[in-house]
Amino acid sequence: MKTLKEFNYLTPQTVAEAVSLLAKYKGEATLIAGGTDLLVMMKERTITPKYVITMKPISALSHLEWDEKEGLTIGALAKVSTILSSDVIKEKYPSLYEAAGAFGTTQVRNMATIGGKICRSSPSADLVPPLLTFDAEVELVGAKGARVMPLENFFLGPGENVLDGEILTKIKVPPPKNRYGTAFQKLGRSSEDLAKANCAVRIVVTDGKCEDIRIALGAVAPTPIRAKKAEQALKGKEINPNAIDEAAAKVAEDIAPITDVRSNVEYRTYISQILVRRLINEAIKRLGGS
Amino acid sequence: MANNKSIININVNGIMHTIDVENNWTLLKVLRDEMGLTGTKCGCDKGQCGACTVLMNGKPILSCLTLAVAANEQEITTIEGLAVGGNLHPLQESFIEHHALQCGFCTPGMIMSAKALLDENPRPSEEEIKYSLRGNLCRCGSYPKVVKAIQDTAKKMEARE
Amino acid sequence: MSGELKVIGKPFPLRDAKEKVEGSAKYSADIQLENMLHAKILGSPYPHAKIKKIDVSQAQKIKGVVEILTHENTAGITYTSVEHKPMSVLEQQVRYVGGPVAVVAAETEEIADKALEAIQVEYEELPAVFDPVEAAKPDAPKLYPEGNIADAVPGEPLCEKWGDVDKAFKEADIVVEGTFKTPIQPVTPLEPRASVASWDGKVLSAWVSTQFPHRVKEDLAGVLGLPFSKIRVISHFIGGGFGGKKQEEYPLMAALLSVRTNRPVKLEYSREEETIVGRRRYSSVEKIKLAAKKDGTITAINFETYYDVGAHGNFVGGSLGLLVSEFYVYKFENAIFKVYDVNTNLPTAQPFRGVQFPAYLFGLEQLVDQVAEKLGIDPAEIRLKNTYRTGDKMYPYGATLGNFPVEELIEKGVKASGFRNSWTGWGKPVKVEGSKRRGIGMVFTMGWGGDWMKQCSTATVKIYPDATAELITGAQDIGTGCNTTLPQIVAEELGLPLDKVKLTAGDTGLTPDDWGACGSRTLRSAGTAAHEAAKKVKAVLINTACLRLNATRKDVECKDGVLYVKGKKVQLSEVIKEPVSAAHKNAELETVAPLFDAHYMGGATFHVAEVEVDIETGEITVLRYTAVEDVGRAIDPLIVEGQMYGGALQGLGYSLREELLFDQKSGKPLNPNFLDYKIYDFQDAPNIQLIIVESNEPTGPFGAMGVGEHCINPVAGAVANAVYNAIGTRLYEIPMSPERVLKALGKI
Repeated sequence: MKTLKEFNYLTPQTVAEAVSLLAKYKGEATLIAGGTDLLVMMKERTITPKYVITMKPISALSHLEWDEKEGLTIGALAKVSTILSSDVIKEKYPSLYEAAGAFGTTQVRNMATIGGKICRSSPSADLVPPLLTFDAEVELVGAKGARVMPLENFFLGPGENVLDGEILTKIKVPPPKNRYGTAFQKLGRSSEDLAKANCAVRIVVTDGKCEDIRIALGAVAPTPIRAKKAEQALKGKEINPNAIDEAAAKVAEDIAPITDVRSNVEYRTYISQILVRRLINEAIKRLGGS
Repeated sequence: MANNKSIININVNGIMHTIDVENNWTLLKVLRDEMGLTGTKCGCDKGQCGACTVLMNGKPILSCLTLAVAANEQEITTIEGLAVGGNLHPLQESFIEHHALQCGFCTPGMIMSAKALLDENPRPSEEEIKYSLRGNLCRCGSYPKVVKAIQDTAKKMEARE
Repeated sequence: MSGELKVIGKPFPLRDAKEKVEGSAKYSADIQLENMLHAKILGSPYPHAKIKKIDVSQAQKIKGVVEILTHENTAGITYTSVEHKPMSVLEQQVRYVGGPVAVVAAETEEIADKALEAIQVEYEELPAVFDPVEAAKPDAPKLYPEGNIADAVPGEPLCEKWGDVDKAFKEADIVVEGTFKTPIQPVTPLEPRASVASWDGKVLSAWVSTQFPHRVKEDLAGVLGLPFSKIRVISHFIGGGFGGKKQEEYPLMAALLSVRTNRPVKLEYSREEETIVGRRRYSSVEKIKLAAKKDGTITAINFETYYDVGAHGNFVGGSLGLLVSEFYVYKFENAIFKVYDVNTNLPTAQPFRGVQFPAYLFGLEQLVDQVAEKLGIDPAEIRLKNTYRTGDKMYPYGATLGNFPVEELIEKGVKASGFRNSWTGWGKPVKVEGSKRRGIGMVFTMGWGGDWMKQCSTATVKIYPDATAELITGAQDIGTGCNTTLPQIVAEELGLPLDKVKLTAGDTGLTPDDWGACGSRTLRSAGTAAHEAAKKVKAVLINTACLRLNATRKDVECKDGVLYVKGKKVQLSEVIKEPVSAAHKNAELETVAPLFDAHYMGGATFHVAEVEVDIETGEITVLRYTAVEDVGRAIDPLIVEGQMYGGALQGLGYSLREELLFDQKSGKPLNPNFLDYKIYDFQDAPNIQLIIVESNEPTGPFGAMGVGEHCINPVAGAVANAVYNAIGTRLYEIPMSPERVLKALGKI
């Protein structure tokens, strides 16, 4: 572990100011939110920015808003602890709430921001799979203005995303259109760990049939992914153990896990199916179905 | 040319300080090296062990992952700030009584996390204590006695009110 | 000692708890001296290389860089610890990734880091080897000219045998065998080790995170060419050691820098350095075979094992401990122990709590269970059949076993764990619930307890005219609580309340020698010295009273800290105007402990593990863990409980989740941090039921034995046995990660 190298600390008061600073010091600047990832990388000297731009003064970015029509708008600087203490999220987006609880430690949750975690673009990010199952979108603001895109398209690879001199400002989650059941689970070597594999499921069941389903996984591909082959295998079908097993087996075609210090390909491949099967069942149970 | 310097105003344990800092200093370094408050420990410097836990505006955070400049205008409480007028905080007394420590290195961080927990949740269950403090690692194995110390403190503090 | 004990056995809080909870306790890294420099180490990027050229000129030009050490300007400066090969402070041949190449002292840490980047080193890479079995082969890359087998006779394994093993196996009714693998487990204390060295022209004061302050004092004296009287090692607060913080290079580097710069120097390890350069348990590959008869007698053991002792380890730091412990766990009439302590291009290994016991019992106890299964008897029965009893003469040296209350421990443990209710038979789960299988397993064993451990402890006890006392001891508290229990012993002997006994410890400038904190020896050894010194000073006091007051010995009694002369109470201040003192030294310091002693303290230990294995995810949860241990006498039961729990938890980590991994090509450590090396946290740490048994060991102070290691020894074996009973398949490698469980079940 090394000391941090020297840098200029900049405190823009608006998003526009932050964007222009990013452009001005392109290649030498980085944004800091909670710092829980960034400072570790800077101490490991993986990145050594000459300019560190803090978003903290822009307080509007740390708010969480709920509206029946607009749904949930989470400011990029909202802390994970804020998500964990939100009744709205607990009630309407339970898997996101659970993921926030499974993530990190009390201290880290008090510091890390949802925007920071998304921009870190780790394949194993815990908050992302639930957001993917809710069709979340992100707002990016750059020199050319703002654009909104599905969260699913934000990630490009481990630690890589589409940001081009832009700042992630909001995460938008549509309001629930119908009753759904959700489930989330994270597997690690200990209760507090980077995920070996994590999974979120959201399911809508009508007359014993799967009307709609979203399955998202993390830590089993270069980015968090939607398991679309598995989803398609169950969508529209009658809910029964066989159908669920078949859908879970399909997830092997959606993922591309690796062997690393935390786990291996064989385990991740095998456990993804177990997770998907278990979580589909759990989500259905929470709907009140069987 | 990077301008690596800033001036910060921070309230540490109830006292305002104006300090010249380097931007690349962490709050942990300022507390320990600049202010001589060595009660807060460096166990890993990467936010993974909790030994550096202090309270910022009452919430437990990792001072090793907080830039000193980010602590500007904030209220910091360290272990040294718990005892009032020479009297130990009930948590500190409880830790002593219940033998909730062995080598003691993780203890300051643990006590700060415990204080924040009790401030927010005056009667935490065993599960809540364990969940809340899972970011404070201990190698000596003080966990069960820490849980007991915290539960006992909760009872005592409730009785006082 | 008749009558009720007044201080012994009471749950006193730690003597130094107040400083620890206040944050005023100064650990080595907390020491801040004026004009202090900061030192950092440049580590080798290669697992095995010769430094051909090292150029520090660019680094020296950096403003604020004050002094740089390399092998060139420290040539010939060596130091010796019994637990590793002789080492130079900086070696020209680096033997592991991270091995020290240069040390920089600078005005700030930031400048020191800058300097490290500017040092230019030309390495000649040498072939490297990481596996102990490979490294033991004659054609393996050599770390030393004498080869890689670091046993007493270079190139030869440590070999001990008795009886006729071949005959026993020929005549056996049952033979079981297995090859067991155990990982590298770094000690991982929360405190990364650190040293502050301060040379004032006359005396070198060194604050060091060490279990061995008096040995470090000797190392410093040797390295600096100074007499002992000019070295002072201060170690009031150590943040955990567990065997891994003894004698090493970093305090010597800090001291050399201080002497060369005439300024105080602080050298603090990062967490990565603490994991890599700080010492660790050796990994092992154990081939074990047991022979047994139909009547349940285990007649022979064949134990052939490779230990990886790392770059600078040796057999003393390696398998030597076998000779004083593992031989005694069962009545093996016939045995062969063949052990290779092998150097590899990995960080140096050193005894970590329990030393070889945890690995040994992981293998041995599973085989013992297999014998029992083949015979159709239960696990308690086989152990009752083959374990020694109190007073037995033990193979192979004929040592007499002290108190060893086997039946009592097994009875208590079986009852407390609900074993009889849970046991459904071999390889049969206690309960099946969906994909979850519950299993229960046990291990009965012993701790460390040879007489050799009482060597070299010295204590002085003083009595003051105001009826207070002082204990001056060289013993080192590393969180183990002897700062509390040693004064308890003195207080009890003198009949004083505990708060009337002052303690002077943690400073070699003020205290007599003590070998150091290791091998569960401190309470037994330093406790004996303290106890004897207290008895002596009491006698001195009584003699003085006789002289002053013209009384005879039988007229004078010292009871509860009060003097009675002919039945009349006399103030101490009437008898003595100055403190009286007496010292006691157990035995002379020896470089290597005498092993073949007449008496062995058992430290009987019995653990029962109940686990739940999810056969879909491979996850093992410890549902219930029962630890019953004979501690002789619990001087302070809270401290004993802390040790029992802490050791068991480290054992569970060893069994289920801890392993330090290295890239097999580059030798780079892959997880030297808390992120990827997972010790137990609050949420995962299982509850453990602790039962203390007190057999009153006659050779211990007030019957006490050291307890630091009993608690970790049986854990891996108990958990492995429980897992087998849960899932019907044995695991031969720890940690028993979900990946390994599923592989054993054939699912991946």
